[in-house]
Amino acid sequence: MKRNKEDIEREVDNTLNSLEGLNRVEAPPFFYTRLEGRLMDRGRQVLPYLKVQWATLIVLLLVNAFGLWVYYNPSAQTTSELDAIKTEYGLVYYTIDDYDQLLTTESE
Amino acid sequence: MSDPVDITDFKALALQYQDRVYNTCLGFLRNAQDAEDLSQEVFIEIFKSLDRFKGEAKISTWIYRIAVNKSLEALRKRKRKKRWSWLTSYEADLHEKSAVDNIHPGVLAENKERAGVLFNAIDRLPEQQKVAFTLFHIEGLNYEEIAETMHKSVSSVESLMHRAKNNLKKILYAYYQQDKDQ
Repeated sequence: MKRNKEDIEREVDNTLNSLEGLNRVEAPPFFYTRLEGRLMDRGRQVLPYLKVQWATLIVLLLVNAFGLWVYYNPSAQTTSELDAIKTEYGLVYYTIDDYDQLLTTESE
Repeated sequence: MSDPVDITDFKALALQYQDRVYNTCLGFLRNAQDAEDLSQEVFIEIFKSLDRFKGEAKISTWIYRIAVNKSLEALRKRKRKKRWSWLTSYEADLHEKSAVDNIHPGVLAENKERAGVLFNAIDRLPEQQKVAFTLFHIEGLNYEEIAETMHKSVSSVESLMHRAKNNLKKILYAYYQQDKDQ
């Protein structure tokens, strides 16, 4: 039994020392050439992606700018179109001044 | 640990460190193809973040740190893949094959069998102990260089190495005991 334990301990020590004299392995041939190729591929993959991102951003900004322009500058044409619709459907809209004027006219 | 190198010259940097990075990755992954792919990823990471290198650490320490982190990430990914590989027997076969076939090619011919047993034991060590042991025995760094790479004190590295050796002895003792019983 003791002999067995000693054997195992010797095996363990030998195994722990098995990395002694290990040589550093060199990178495979043409490692840098392949790395360069991969870097160029990456550049090619990233560029169209960046272009799409910029295009999306520009479109979004244009849509927003147009929305703001319409909001702050309602054109005359739009107003006249609204008036035409109001008239067509009889959507007459009176203000308090209109009522006052109407009452004054009736009392006269 | 490092020779003076112009960090703006990426090609010179890559050529100077490619062997060390490849050897480190191979020490962790022990598969030539995986180690080459990972080494290239390490250099791509270096290329991307070269302008962020402030020179607080040695360039070699910084490169080793990236190589170690990438290797650990790859090992975790491999473990996760292995966990789910039972779903496809083909993948399970591949993992089994890679575990058996791949021993670090720098090991002396007469030590190959024992080194295979040792590498399987190293795989079972906790991550930090594995890093310290691998950088010392495979890459040949001294404790000070390992401490710089791992952001630890030299005494912490000494303690990690001591625990790693003790754990390896226990794992190997159990392995050979079982081997003798059979």
